[in-house]
Amino acid sequence: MVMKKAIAATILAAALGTAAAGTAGAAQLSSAATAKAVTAKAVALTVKQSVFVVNYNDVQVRTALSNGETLVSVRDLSAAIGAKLSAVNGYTTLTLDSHSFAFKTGVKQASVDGNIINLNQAAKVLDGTAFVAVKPLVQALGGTMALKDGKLAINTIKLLAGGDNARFVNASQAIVSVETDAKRTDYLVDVATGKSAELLSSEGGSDLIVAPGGAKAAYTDAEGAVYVIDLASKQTKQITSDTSIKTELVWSADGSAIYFLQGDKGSVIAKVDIATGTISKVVEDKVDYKSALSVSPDGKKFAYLVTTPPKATADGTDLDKDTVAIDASGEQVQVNLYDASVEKPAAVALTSAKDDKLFVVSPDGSTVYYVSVADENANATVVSVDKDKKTATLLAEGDVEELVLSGGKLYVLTAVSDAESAIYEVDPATASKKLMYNVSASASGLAVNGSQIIIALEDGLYVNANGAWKPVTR
Amino acid sequence: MKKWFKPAALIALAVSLTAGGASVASAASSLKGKIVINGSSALLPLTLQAKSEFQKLNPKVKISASAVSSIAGPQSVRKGIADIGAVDWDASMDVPGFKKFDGQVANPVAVTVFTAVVNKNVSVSNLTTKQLQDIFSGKVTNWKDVGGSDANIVVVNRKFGSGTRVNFQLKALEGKDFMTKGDNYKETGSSGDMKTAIETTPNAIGYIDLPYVTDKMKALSINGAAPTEKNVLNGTYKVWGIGYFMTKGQPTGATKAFIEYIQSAKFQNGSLKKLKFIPLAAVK
Repeated sequence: MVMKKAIAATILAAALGTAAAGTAGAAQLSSAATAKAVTAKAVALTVKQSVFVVNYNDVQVRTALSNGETLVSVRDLSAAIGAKLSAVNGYTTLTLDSHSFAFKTGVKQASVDGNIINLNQAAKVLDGTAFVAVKPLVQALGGTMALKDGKLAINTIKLLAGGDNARFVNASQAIVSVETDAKRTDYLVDVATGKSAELLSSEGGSDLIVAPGGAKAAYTDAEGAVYVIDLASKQTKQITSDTSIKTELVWSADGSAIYFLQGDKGSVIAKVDIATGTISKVVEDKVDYKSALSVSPDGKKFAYLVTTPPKATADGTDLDKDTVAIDASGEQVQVNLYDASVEKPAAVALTSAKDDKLFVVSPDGSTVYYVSVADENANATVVSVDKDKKTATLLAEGDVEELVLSGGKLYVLTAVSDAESAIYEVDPATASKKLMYNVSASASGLAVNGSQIIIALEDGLYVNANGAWKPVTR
Repeated sequence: MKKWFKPAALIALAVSLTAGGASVASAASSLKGKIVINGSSALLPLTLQAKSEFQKLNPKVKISASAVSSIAGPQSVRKGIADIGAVDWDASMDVPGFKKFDGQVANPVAVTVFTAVVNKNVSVSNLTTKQLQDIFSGKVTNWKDVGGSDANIVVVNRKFGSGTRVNFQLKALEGKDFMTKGDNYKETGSSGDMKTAIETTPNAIGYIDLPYVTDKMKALSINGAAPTEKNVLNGTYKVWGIGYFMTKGQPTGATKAFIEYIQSAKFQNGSLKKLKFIPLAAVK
């Protein structure tokens, strides 16, 4: 980086020198005279304190108006945006990420990433500090400028590209994943500013499952070993090296254990103790194809789906006869409840209808909420079923696409027209529902943390901040 | 990032914040249809996992997935009772014992690792190709002859038509024939049945695809190489094959979308690996 700064300054010097080729003395004289004139003229300019909104925060910076342009204290702005300042041979260089801006007071040119640009006016020294026109400086460093509530808003945060699958960690951070052909990289993203930091890069690892409280997250590697990552320190700890297939991870309410479905068919509900790595089987009832596991806060009740595939038969003795047959009469997906606190625990099917059941959630392991899709031509709805097998339709507005649970309330993304979807909040205790927002029909990937909502649109993830949608990725 | 196959006409980048009540409710257009899948039991866990994820992106696509044997996959497509035939070999080409299925397209979906497995009571952990050939042909009948205890070997085979059987015979036995009868010989109809037989039959040996291996059985090394992804990729473990979704001609509509989902980097590097299959890209 130091080398780059030096090179930038050298290039600028070379370019300016070229203009005075063969008359070095004159050029120096001319340059000195210009600087002197600028300094003398600058005395007439007024330096004032201004408030810029820099990367979503109000920041005081010194400014001056000169020839219709706003000049800004290079020192103040570099501090606000986190740019590095350095001085080599009279040239000052600001560097931010992969960009650099090098200038010299009294000279109407600057070097941007090693390329010479012309400035409307030379950088000036006012009250003993350097001032440069704010617009070319911000643009050179890859930032954007806009007016917001009468203030100049400068944004130099580079939004994460290609982010997907947002999950809130806490009120200010979310985990966002970026998939490539070779691997998945998870980032911690500040939902207020979009600033991101790499958290974990993995090949074949499961999604990160955030623990209650948001201090850590769990995942399995491609072999099935379980790890926990501290989201503050980014330190990872292996909990167990057991390589059995673990298709879903669910944190216990107190964060002391992780429940999971074990085996290729998800037949067993097991748990691993975070402190000891000990694995114990909780439900082993030889019922295959469990999925969508929810665990009650006391770790006693387990709600999940059980898929019964169609029965297929084939007589392979004469291959040309195609004696294969599929009997789909018994095919079904049902919500099951297993209460380990009773004397003789056994799974109980709470539902019997043959609809598809998606986005299954259960805050208490007893009452289960899900999106019911009866068939391709019927609108999907949000349905509840309690431990006594009583079902109720909680939301039938539009054609429900997604359902998430946050803070005991349900949040529903539902298509209300060909062009629009809507986000509803449903209080399961009262069955009351409230329309929160209408969004583009392309919205998906709903994530909720209290009043904060993230959705994915075609061009990135957006968070709702005070009623307005703001990009957090691009 | 985006809904998988929402019509382009619905793609609007702007987000509107609408004051007041909801718009008039009507079903949003999205991908619809029903996909029937039948065939390989080795591929069924993968298919059901993909179904669960795909339906969250496309709730109006109903997917009915069942399994009996690999050969039943392309047969189901030919018979017109399935849109996708899951099979452990490329059924658009002739393979030993099976003619190609004319007009069907083989869509690769996963690399499957097959392994010889024994009951937990068997002390042997590694067999050579020759030892496997001798055991599965009935020439060697006692574990003591291959370094184990003095106990009769129970050979568990898959029925004809199994893709696991095709792959195991071709790659583990290098084409040598299986025994077909005997007191200590049995055949099972599916991977699930094989799993149960190995778990519950002392001195049994069989073969299965890696996702079905449980802690109640032991997967054997072959010629010193354990059945792991690493050994497949470094070439020391040879008993693997590509699983295919056979379709009648090129897939279209929901079927095409579902196959593309399974082939996507997200699924290949995520759930597919978690289920102990190997991504297609890893062996190209």
